[in-house]
Amino acid sequence: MSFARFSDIVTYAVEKETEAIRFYTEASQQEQYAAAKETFLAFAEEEKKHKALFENLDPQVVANYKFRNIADLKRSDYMVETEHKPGMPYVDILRLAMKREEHAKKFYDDCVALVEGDEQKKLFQMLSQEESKHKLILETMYDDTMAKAGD
Amino acid sequence: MMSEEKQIKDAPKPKPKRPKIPRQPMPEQDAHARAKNFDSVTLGYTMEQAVTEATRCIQCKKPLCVPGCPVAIDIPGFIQLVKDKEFLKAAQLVKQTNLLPAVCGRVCPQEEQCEAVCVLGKKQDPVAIGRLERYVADYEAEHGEIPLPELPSKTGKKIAVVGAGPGGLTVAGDLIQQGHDVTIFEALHKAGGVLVYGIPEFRLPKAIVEREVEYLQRLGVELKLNHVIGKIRTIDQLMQEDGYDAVFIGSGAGLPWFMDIPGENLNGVFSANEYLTRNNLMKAFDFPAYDTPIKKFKNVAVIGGGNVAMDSVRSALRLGADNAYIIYRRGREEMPARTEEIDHAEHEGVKFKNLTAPVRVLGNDEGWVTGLECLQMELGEPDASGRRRPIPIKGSEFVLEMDAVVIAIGTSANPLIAQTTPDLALNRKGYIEVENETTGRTSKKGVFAGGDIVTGSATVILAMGAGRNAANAIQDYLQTGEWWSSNGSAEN
Ligand SMILES: Cc1cc2nc3c(=O)[nH]c(=O)nc-3n(C[C@H](O)[C@H](O)[C@H](O)COP(=O)(O)OP(=O)(O)OC[C@H]3O[C@@H](n4cnc5c(N)ncnc54)[C@H](O)[C@@H]3O)c2cc1C
Ligand code: SF4
Repeated sequence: MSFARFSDIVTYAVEKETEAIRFYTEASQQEQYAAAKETFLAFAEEEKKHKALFENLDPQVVANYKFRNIADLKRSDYMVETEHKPGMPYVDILRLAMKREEHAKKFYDDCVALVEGDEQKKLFQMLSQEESKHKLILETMYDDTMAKAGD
Repeated sequence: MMSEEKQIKDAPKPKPKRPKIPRQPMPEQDAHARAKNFDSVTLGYTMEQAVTEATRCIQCKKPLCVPGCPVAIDIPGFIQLVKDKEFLKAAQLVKQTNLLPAVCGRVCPQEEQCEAVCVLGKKQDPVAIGRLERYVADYEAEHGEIPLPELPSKTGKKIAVVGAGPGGLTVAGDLIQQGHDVTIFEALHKAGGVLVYGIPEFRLPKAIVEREVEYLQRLGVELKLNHVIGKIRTIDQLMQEDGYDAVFIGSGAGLPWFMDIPGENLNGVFSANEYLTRNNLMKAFDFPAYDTPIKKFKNVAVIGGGNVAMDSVRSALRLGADNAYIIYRRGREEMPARTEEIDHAEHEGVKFKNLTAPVRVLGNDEGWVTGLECLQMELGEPDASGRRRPIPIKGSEFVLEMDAVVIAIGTSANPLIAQTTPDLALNRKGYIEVENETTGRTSKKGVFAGGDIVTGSATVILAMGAGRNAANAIQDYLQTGEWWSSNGSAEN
């Protein structure tokens, strides 16, 4: 896969979001209960927002993008890989989603180091930050649930 | 000019000065001795202490403690009876609203409920309401015949209760007294739910729960043990084939969560549920008299900071561990366990490793645990909610030598009943959805639910409160046949 051009990267990022939307939508369809279906559909909606953001990216948008420090709770980072099993408890659903964001972020971080050209680097940094935001939202939901339970 | 008499009347009355009696301390077994036995840690008030403590209550006209109690016990009323040494009457008054005072007096978090709002607490220590509740309940058990109430004639209605925890027992007790036939289906070989399989003997003697269960049986409640609903019979079968007019589901939240870190499948890793159940129900603590022991472990790590973690770690000490640790990712002030239990654990010699998160369980070639790799945590910047969450300190990994790891980081609902009852609506977290807490009516006509299966892990008294509400709603339903629909209209 070549990330030589700005547009290659954008195309790739959009594809990744499309895959995520498909993953969550299918997971939702496999669930028996309305509540679990809704949780997965809510995740799919979040990915749709990312997809729309990425589809409209041009070098100007990236140049104006504000970087800030997004806290990383690293809740998923020490967990083993997991997969969707219909009927899985809510905390496992969160773990699954957190892990996916962790992988996406790590991938974009690796890409920053791999590509040359400031524009491309900055684009990957932006993508990484967007995934970090999702990871933080999910990890915060997870951390709140776990803190109450005594973890 | 005012008459002398009137002048005297209007003069401000000097406030009677009460000598400040300190809150009576709870007698306890010595910390070193008790850390090696399963006998009760707290010994209960003497009569003198109970009466002295009762005199501290100033009998507020608008007592804040009563609304602070989830089942609104007449607290000043029963405390006055203690002061008057009418202990049996005091116990009966408490029992009007609380089926299990000997349990609640021991395990309720009074410091967050009635005692948290006791008016005395503003300037000194609040009245020890929980200890007095325990005193009167124990007094009744020792001295009083619990008279069987006169039961109304039989209504011919049959109620099935799923789960013999505090929620289910309350429903059964209330409905048998309405003249209905009540059968409890309990998955385990003993009734009591968490009260018997979770909370250890040293905090809640099992004889107390047994006595209450026997009382229900004497009232006529039928108890079917080793009956897993969803396997032996489904809810639909109970209603359509076995003739039950209503069902109450009080099956609790007993499915343990694991950490999903490497090494969790090693021998010597337990969920707290399994660890405590082996200890309580299979009497591992009474080895060799009972032959289902937990292997004796030297170094035991318990992960978590709630009541379940404290019960596990204190059990580990009593089972002979040289070192029993609490490993908790946050600071001590965030621990959800009762302060009293944390203090007890500390006095008994439990080692606390706060701001410490496990990342890997290490094992040997035979597949047994040998250690626990942990990370040191620090509190991050406050987030939007103001909470400072722990984050790992880079490169802070260290290994603690361990031969057992007990995971007490939370539980959720066992999905069996939901899976076999497709028209039972669940919420996002997998708990049974009810109309509201005052009825416990589920999405399925004639089926009610309450306790941990609705709220997630909570408290004994909340499960009992939910049971009482559901029993009232079941009584209404049996009389009117009315149900509800989620759009708010009544259905017949
Ligand atoms: C170790 C521990 C310590 C605790 N300490 C405290 C404390 O100090 N103070 C406090 O207030 N609370 C404490 N709690 C919480 C409290 O015990 C619970 O909130 C309470 O017991 C919930 O009551 P319940 O009736 O909803 O369910 P449970 O007590 O969980 O009872 C549910 C019952 O249903 C049975 N069951 C489950 N599925 C089925 C089925 N399919 N068919 C038939 N039967 C089934 C179970 O075997 C169980 O007996 C503690 C909990 C634990 C685990
Ligand atoms: S608030 Fe305290 S002092 Fe007042 S009635 Fe209740 S227990 Fe007694």
